[in-house]
Amino acid sequence: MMNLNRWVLPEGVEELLPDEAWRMEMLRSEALGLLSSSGYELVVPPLIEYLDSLLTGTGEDLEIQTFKVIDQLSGRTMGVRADMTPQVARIDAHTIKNDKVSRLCYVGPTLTTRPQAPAGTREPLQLGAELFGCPSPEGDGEVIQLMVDILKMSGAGSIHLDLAHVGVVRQLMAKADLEATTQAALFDALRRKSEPDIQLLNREGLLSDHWSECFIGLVSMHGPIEQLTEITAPLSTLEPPIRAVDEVLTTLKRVADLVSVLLPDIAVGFDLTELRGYRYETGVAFAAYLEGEGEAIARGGRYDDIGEVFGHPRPATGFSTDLRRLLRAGGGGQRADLDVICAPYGTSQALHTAILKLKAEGKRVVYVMPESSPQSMKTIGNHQLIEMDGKWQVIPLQE
Amino acid sequence: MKQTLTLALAKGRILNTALPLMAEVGVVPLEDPSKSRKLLIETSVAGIRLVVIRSADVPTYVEFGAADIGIVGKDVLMEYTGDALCELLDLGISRCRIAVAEPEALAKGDDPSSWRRLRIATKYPKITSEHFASKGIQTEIIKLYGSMELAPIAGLADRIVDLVDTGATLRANRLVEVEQIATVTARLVANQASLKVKGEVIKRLVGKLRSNLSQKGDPE
Repeated sequence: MMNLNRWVLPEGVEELLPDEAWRMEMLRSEALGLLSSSGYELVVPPLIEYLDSLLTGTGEDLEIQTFKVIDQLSGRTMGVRADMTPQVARIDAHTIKNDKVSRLCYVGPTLTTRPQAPAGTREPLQLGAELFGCPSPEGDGEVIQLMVDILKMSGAGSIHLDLAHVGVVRQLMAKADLEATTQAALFDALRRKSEPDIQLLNREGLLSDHWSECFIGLVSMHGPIEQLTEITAPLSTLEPPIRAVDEVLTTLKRVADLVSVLLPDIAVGFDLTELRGYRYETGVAFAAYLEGEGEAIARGGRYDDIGEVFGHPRPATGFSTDLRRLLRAGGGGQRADLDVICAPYGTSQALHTAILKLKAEGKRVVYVMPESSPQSMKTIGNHQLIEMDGKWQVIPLQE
Repeated sequence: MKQTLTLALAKGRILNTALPLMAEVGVVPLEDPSKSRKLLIETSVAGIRLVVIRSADVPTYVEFGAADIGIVGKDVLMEYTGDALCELLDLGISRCRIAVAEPEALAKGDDPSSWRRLRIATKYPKITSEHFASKGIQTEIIKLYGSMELAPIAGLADRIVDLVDTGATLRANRLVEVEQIATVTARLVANQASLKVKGEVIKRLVGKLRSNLSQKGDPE
């Protein structure tokens, strides 16, 4: 019996059909072209690796997102990459191993056990760029500019750039010195900007009045970058003062200044409790949002010293995006509308030479097979290749 | 460019208590949502529109970004599996509680500390299993969509986990509340991307709601 459900694909998995697939390919090659022209070298990390090396230096979140299989050859557990960034960081730390600035880019399929967004894909086509060896905000500026340029290139309009920094929350959490379970609950509440849930922790006696007030103040510290100083003013009156907070704000300000010069046409905001989707970031983090998209379209940030576990700590910053989502949001590359030339299939050497010449000129030539009727040519193309006066010539198909 | 803001409201109790709050900040629907058959309703503020949907659908709309903000009960948020919503404000309305209840006869001589394995009927399987798991109690959960109180009477389950307001329905069906799991009020939630892209509009609205709430005093 024929199984009627045999065509059903797993949830979050899709195929791209001709037009979309070509547009995706155009987008991929244009984006790589832009990265290459900015000095980024292409690397191709493996699709599958031993799990322990794949997950080294990353968080629990990435482990849950990773599909695992047993290697029949070694008996060890392997993981299919859910994120290529740590792989590229390892390539830099372990293989390239020098102290010069290195710029690497990559593109390839990844697999995640769950969709990152509701009804989203589980097979993102990740494209990204990483800049190693540059600790200054200028490095973040370069990467943000590339990210925005690629989004613009895809056709995405009205981009909103959000700058975040994990430092403030980490510093305050450390100072508050909380029980592990309270810390987890507070972290979760901060992620959701849930003032009511922080108040609940306070009422349950898990969080002191002082810290409750302080974290509640923090969740509303987001807005346009022009208001950074104004909105974050309460942080300067913290008792005891936390020096790292000033550093964080200075860094954010510096990156924002660079961005506003380079990209004057996009809206820039900041958010001190944006902790979502950042897996290993240690400093400035950034994400690009588009109107009508419920999730960030691209994100990245600074993750200094991730290479330490491979014996070579390095300052690092980078971004990545999913080309599948970008294709939907921006429209992707446009495939040139080529003339299609119908040619008879034949063994004549002259015909073959003529076809090769046309293809070399960038034309598209499609054989019309003997069983096809002459009328069917119009469904294939708009020109035909015919022999006239002993020469193969292209003429428009008659209506 | 003038941005539009879509507010998702949960039908029923929350709608009735949330509309006055919205009216206080100047957002009044141009048609009565309880009478109109329209699902998308414009308001007195140009650029703010309402969608009135089932409460369990509110988090879905907001997480997808189909609505920018929403008003929904904490019970629905606790039961929702996604974690991408920002929970901006406790509106203090539609206050009730999620509680464990059992038949009067069973409650006599029942000691919650001796519970080992329970068979519970509920429309909140996630809240129920998390609550009992945190106490080390095994549960067998029967998911129902309504009339929870019938389950123990009909012998479907020993106990129920349900939303309790005045407790009148429990009493009418000779059930007693034995344990409270959480207090529930309506919350203002926002899509995380909307909070960035339409941050100013949302912040202004939240600010007005907040100052009205604080004037009324702490809901506690």
